[in-house]
Amino acid sequence: MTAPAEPASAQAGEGATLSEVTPPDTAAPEAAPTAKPWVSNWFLFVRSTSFRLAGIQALILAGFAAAVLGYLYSVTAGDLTAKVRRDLSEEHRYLASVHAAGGYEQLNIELIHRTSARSKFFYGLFDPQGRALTGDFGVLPVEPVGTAIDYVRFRYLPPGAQSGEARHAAGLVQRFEDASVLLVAADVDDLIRVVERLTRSIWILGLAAGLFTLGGAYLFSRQASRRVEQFSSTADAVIHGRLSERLAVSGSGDEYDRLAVRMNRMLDRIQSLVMAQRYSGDALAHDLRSPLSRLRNRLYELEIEAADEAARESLGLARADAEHVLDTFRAILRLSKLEAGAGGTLELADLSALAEDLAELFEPACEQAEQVFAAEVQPGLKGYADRELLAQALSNLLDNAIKYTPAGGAVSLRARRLKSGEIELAVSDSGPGIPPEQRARVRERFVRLEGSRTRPGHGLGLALVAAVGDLHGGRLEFDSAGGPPEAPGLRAAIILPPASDRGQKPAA
Amino acid sequence: MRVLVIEDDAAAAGHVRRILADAGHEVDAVLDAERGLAVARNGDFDVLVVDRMMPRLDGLELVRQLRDDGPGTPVLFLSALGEVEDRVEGLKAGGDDYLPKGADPVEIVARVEALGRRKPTGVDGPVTHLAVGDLELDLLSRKVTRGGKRIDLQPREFKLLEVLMRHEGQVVTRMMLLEQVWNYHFDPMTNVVDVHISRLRSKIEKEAGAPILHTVRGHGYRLQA
Repeated sequence: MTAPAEPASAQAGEGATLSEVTPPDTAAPEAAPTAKPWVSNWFLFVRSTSFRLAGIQALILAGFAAAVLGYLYSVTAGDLTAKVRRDLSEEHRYLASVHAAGGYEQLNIELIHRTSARSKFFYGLFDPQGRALTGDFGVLPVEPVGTAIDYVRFRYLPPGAQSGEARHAAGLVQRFEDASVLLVAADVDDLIRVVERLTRSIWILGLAAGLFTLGGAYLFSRQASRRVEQFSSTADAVIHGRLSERLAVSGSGDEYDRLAVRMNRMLDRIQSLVMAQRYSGDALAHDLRSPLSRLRNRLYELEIEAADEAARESLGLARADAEHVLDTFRAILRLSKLEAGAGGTLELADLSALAEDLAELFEPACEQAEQVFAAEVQPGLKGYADRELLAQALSNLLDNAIKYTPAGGAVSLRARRLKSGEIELAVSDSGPGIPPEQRARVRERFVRLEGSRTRPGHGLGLALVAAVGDLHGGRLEFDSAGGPPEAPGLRAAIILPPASDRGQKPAA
Repeated sequence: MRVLVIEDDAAAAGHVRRILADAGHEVDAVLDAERGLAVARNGDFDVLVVDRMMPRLDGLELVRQLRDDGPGTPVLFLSALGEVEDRVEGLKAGGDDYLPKGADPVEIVARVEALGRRKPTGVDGPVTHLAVGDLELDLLSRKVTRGGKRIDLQPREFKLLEVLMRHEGQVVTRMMLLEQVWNYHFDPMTNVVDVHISRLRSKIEKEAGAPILHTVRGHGYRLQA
């Protein structure tokens, strides 16, 4: 799409000071937003109330799950481990008492009994010189520290087992005061395997529960956000003057539905108020037209009859005022007709020719106002349009551009096909522009911004442009023309649907 | 020029009559449409000025019946229905020009005079050569000369000059120029036409010197040697 536009912009861009005409400037702002929306969308989503609520719910659920899993762990694996420790220390306490009574020789005898009796424990007894006496170990697998009773974990190789088939064992080891060492141990390999499996399942369960709650939170809040999004887009539509837009009611009767019903009632009320106001304006214009015409005619006749120059002059001024009011009334009635979707016939039109014609009509006026005029019209633009109305809309935009651009400034008319297939007819100037917060207002009737009241016009020009845009199923967009802060300029674009969209929405 | 005004509102009819009389024309006014039709058929008028919404006989119907008799007196519709669609309807019914009620007096006079002048030209077949003083315009070769000297004009300037020359000696208003040269029927506010005229003027008056394209203050232009 950009390729065919390049040559045209290269030649037109030289003369114009509007930065939007030059390719490098358009490339930069396009690159930046591509990275941003995803981040900012995500950021908005995380900040949304529904997501926070869902997040809190997920946290509570996760806490509960953790408590349940912890309890489960303590009554299974925890209990088994504790029992092994209890058994070990009971056995150790007994053997220690034997040692206390008869020294390690006596203990040795006791252990000989126990080993031959196939006890479930393993033993190891070492004399003060560190030599192994009775028991299952030739060497101490774990050295005791000091004379305290140490709980130790180690691995051992059962008789007849391959290396690599070492099993887990746990035991108590103690160096007595006579320097002999006793180790009482038990095989905990099976137990450890059970515990490992248990912990793994608990982790998996916990993780799955966490993911489920997060996923649920996401879906739940997405659902909620989507409805809020719908609400905002409807509100935007109403702000932009499409007063008949209403919020969708899903029929579920939830709080969103109830809110939507209330808001719709509110919008009904706003619409009827606006219509009433508009209608009273129309009625006024209609009813006052005839008496005003008579007044004007009378003034004209008096003006002709007037004997002296001074009287003729002031009568002429009075007549001009009456004519201005009549013009305004005519414009109001015309606008109302257009806003109601009446008037205008859409036919397949050569929009390039239309833009060229207007450029040709206005170019000398720009030159006279000492402004640089540039037209950049892509050939072959076709669309369903009312030539006369669209020409008047563009003419209003060009008229505004010329009025508000100082001498030495630039005005441009640009017609092109957008990537979306829509056709854009844009007028840019290097004047003071319209602050973003005022842009929605200027489409309304009789809204004239500070500094424009002194200029001729009746404040209906942009309202007419907006109405013509609507009538074509298109829209009117305002933007800065990209000039310096003190004179950002205004870029007003009428965007029309592609010719293939015939019948989609010819009239509101 | 003899003008017949057919309009049911006496005040409005009186106003139009007054305007045209002040411009030096002989004006008859008829307040009833049916009688107006009869008067138009029998009288020898140069231009008819017809209202649209009248009791008993609608202005459109009146002109249709008049046109059934064959092409004749040019008709200017002067109607409260001033939209572009209304205008198209009026022209389809056989009207030659259309103005909304409450149009500027000068505008009304200029239109009536333009229509009155058109009558004889249609008889002699198509015109291919126009001349005003030493300014000449050839519609076939699209050549413009003044005092024998060639003047180069853009296509739009050529058309503008052609319209002005066809109305030699008459006031041609900005609105008429917008309609006949650009085919627009709205007011573009900015003085676009004036600027085009001054460009044209600088070309046709540049060398020969003598002013030929005159400005009628506040209303329009007149080409006269």
